[in-house]
Amino acid sequence: VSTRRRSRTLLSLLAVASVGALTTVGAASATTPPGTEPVGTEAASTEPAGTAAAGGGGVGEVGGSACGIPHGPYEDPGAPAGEVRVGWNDPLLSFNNSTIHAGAVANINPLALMNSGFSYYDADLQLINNDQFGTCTLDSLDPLTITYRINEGVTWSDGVQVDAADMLLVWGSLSTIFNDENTVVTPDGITAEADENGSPIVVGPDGAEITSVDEEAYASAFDPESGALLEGFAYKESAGVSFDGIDEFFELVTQTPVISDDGLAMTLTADSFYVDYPTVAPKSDDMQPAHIVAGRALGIDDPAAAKQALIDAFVNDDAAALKPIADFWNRGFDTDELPDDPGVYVSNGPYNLTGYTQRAEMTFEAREDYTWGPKPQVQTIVYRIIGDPTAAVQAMENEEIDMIQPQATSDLLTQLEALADRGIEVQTGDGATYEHVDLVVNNGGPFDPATYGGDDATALAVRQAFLKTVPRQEIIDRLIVPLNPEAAIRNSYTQVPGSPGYDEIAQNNGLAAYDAVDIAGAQALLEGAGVTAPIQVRFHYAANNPRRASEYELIRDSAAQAGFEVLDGASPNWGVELPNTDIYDAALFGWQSVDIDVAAGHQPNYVTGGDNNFYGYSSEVVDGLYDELTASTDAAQQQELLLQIEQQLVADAFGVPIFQFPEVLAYNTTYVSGADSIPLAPTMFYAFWEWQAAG
Amino acid sequence: MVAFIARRLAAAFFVVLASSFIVYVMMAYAGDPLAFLIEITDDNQRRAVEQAVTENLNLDTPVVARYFLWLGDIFQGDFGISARTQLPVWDELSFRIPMTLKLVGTALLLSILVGVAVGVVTAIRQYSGFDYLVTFFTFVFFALPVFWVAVILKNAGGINFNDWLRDSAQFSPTFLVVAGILTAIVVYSSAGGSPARKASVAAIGVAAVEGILIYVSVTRWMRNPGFGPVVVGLLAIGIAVAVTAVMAGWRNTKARNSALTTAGIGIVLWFPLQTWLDDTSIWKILGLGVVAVLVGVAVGYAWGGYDKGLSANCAAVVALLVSVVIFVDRAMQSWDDYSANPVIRNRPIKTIGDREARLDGDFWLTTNDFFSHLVLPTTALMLISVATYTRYSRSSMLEVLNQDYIRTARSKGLTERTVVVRHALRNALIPLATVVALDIGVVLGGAVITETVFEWNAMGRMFIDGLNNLDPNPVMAFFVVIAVTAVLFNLVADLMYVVLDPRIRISGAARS
Repeated sequence: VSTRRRSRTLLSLLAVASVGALTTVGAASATTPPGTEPVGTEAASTEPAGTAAAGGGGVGEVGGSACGIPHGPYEDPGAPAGEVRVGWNDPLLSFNNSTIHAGAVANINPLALMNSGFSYYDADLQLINNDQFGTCTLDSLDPLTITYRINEGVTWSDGVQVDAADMLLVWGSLSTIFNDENTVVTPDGITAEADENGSPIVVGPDGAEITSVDEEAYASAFDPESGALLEGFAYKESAGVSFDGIDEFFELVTQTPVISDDGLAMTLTADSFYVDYPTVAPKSDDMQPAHIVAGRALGIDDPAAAKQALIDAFVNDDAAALKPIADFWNRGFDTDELPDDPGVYVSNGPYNLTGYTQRAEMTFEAREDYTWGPKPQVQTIVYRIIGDPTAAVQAMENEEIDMIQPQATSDLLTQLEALADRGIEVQTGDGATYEHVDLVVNNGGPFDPATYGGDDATALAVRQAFLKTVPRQEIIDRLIVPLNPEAAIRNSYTQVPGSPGYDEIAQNNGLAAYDAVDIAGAQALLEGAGVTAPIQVRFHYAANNPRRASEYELIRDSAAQAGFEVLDGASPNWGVELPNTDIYDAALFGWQSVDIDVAAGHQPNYVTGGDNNFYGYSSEVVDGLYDELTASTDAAQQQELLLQIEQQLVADAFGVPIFQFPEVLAYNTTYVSGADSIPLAPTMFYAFWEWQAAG
Repeated sequence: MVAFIARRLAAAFFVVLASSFIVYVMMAYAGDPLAFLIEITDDNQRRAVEQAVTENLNLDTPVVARYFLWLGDIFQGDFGISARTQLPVWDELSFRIPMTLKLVGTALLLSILVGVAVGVVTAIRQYSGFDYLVTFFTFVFFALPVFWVAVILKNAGGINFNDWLRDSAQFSPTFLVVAGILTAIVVYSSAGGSPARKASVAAIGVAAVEGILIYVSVTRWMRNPGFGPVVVGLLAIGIAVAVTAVMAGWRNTKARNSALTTAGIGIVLWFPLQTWLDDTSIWKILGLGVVAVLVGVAVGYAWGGYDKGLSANCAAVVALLVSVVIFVDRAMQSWDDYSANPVIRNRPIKTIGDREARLDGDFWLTTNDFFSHLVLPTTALMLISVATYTRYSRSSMLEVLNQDYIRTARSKGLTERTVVVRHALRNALIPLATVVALDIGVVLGGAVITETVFEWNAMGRMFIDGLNNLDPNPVMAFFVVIAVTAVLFNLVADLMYVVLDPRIRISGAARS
């Protein structure tokens, strides 16, 4: 008996011990991942491709290339050899990166290794057309007509020719015209067919369809008190073809594209001009195998028959066939390990996927019969997923991986630079994301004319005064230079620093006036406007991001000198809360560039009612200039319009860009040479064919 | 007995039920598992996902009712789907459980062995230098955060060790001196008797350790380890002697002869086993282990005597331990092959993952791979548990040593070894059964962090991801597995009492 009693005391002691262990869990999870620091999620991109493209002999002219500068034949570097191991923080979750739900950088990198595409960006951020894979011919500018032709002999890894059926699938899945508009979701969550009023169609006990056109009959199907359907009645369930994909350009193509007689080319005609047409040609992460999609969806084994079935389904708008095709396209490629069905990971590029251990490691082997594009020099690429940046650096030190591109923090950089004697080299440079402060003009706050009785001039003076106090150079010196010694103020709303159009626009748009903090100027503006200090500014930024917290403090202290009281609005849900301008007056976050385009990337940020214009900013001048820009086919004119847009944004004191995110690339020279990175996805994978396995 | 187990199982069932209810409700109030929908821009798709997840997780039902719906599914073996991936949770759980088991099982087993051994020695040598040293370090280990230990371990045990192995595989003179001093302190303070005797024991200890270290250093043994027949022979004989001393007493000639015979058979078999084991599998190894134990039992009975059973037990344990020695020796012989494999790059100790998927080799290569990935996370996970076991077994042993029956045993004139091993140790182990049962929960909790830091895609990782995504089903699946394990181990602990303590009889009716 005494033994038992003793065990009771042990039990209570141990209970304390286990509580302690649980606390550690919580603490660890609360402080962990610098790697998951949220950057601006939506895409904003910048540079006019036209500038670069126009110089490339016929590129951008009728009859010339419609997807960048044709490269011509590639040199053959000889047989690939050796192995390179790269680390990345997130696992691939889908082999179809075109769906909205699965689209992610983590998919783009492996897909870049596996697939070819019509074009890619080179080190100078020029769009290059891999004409060994296929060509894009600009048949006409009005209407915009482009022919995409895939070269004969370009095959999927199962030996099936890549052809127009694959292109048609790209169009069909992204154009949204096949998505069933007549589908509504009822209050009880059923996907039902809608009638002409947008109400769900009801099926009566006798099987007859009842629509809301007949109001009386329709009302009789429902319980007048609860509003629920009466017994015997049911909603007419919809087949609901719904591709989870969308693309601005393919949306403009409502006519069914024409497929050439040889089946290798597809010509499409857009309903209206789209200035960024060069960027829409499928890149390495944009195509899915049509014969697999249709084959699996419709149960057809023969690739040719499957392709024909897919073409027929789209051409005839056959909902019964499109429904399974859409379902497979949406979800069939989702996986986090090597799928049982090898069709799901067929590829058409330099590497074949040979292994994927669940969320841990992918293995790629150079494809022997690959001839259509730059040939890789490394036989095997191992792609390891390491979520924790510290673990990644230690794995690098232990030579388990040869290359990483971790989220840049000064601790991490110090750790990596300390590994120089192990042959590890560190490259720093600009990343794809830029930090900026935007001001809200529609919430009755300090920057809204409504606050001053609709006096635009007063609100403008307050905005200008605030922007004058933002210590941009100090923020860069303190927070960014340690990570990228070359870091400088970004002075453009639309152009990436270092791109051809940047210098001219940055010098002339007027943003340079905000380079240095001007407290006296700010005070003078406030005085002139008759606004009395203190002016409260609610400042919105990410709560779990120490760098933004430091930026906030620097801005707060500087602005305080001019009479602004900048209130801390750190929020864990800052991204979701952006559209709700009632809770903040100024926002600090980053936009990420995904393409080098003329207008598509930034237009939504600045036009009235744009998707990324959360702040109620509205300028007829800017809207008009964007209208001109999106209709312009001339590179010089595009550049001039962009300058005018930026000048207007500066004149309206929209906000200020601050810096380009620093990016760190580390690689072990003992095992790999030729590593490099660009500030666009697929960053360090952009020219993997230059890698060589050393040692 | 049956009634007792039934009663305990019923109680355990309600404990799991109540705690799962609490966790489920807390999870439900932690946040909206559908918050990620905001990232889906297409209306149709968002509605479809929302509808599918809402339906599957019964999010439109009030929390309490939803819990019972979930419970109903669990009883049918359905763990539901993840809100984030919309994939069945069981698919993930089923391949993650063995990984966690591998990590937690090894850590637990080793920490019990090490912790109890150290604890018992510190109790016997209470207030010695060794005792203070151990006490100091146990409290240090208690205080260390696992994630920090992991980073340090990776650096010292992984990166630096691999560097050393590749660069020289030889100890520096400083290292030898420090190792000598440490050995002297530990052995001197843990030895018994007069200062002169302690000093001479310490001197022998230092000489032995230095001898081994120098041998390892000169032959660069760590690059190409292995015991060879001589060391295997010495180890086998040592095992036989130790097992006999602990289990039967050295004077029990039948047991002694059985143990030594078994050890002899093992030594002889070492030679043919070198080739027999070249092509093998885990099943063959396990089979051989069983055969070895049976041989041991047979040897015990063959020597006969009035206590045949005891001799057979002794010989069986010896057979098992000698088999382990032969297994380890054979695995070590593949160490240099493993290390030289291009996948390994002569850096055998790994800091991430649980295996090299690309490693293509025989059983012995994968065995080395298994252990070279396991050693660091297991050590990280062990430290705290070892500290726990050391403290508890020390205090438990001290308490037992102060009991009257120990004084009686001593006054009977029994040797100290007999008193400690046969009278005290067994009784001191009884409360540890409870500690082990409770420690399971702690270790599984520690595994959550260890798995994250060492990049193991095991259960703890799933739990953390689920928690971050506010995804109830993966979290609950983890919880159910953990809760059931903890409760079952508690039951096993209670049953262990019967085995360990003859005074306790578990039955429906109480006896006194």
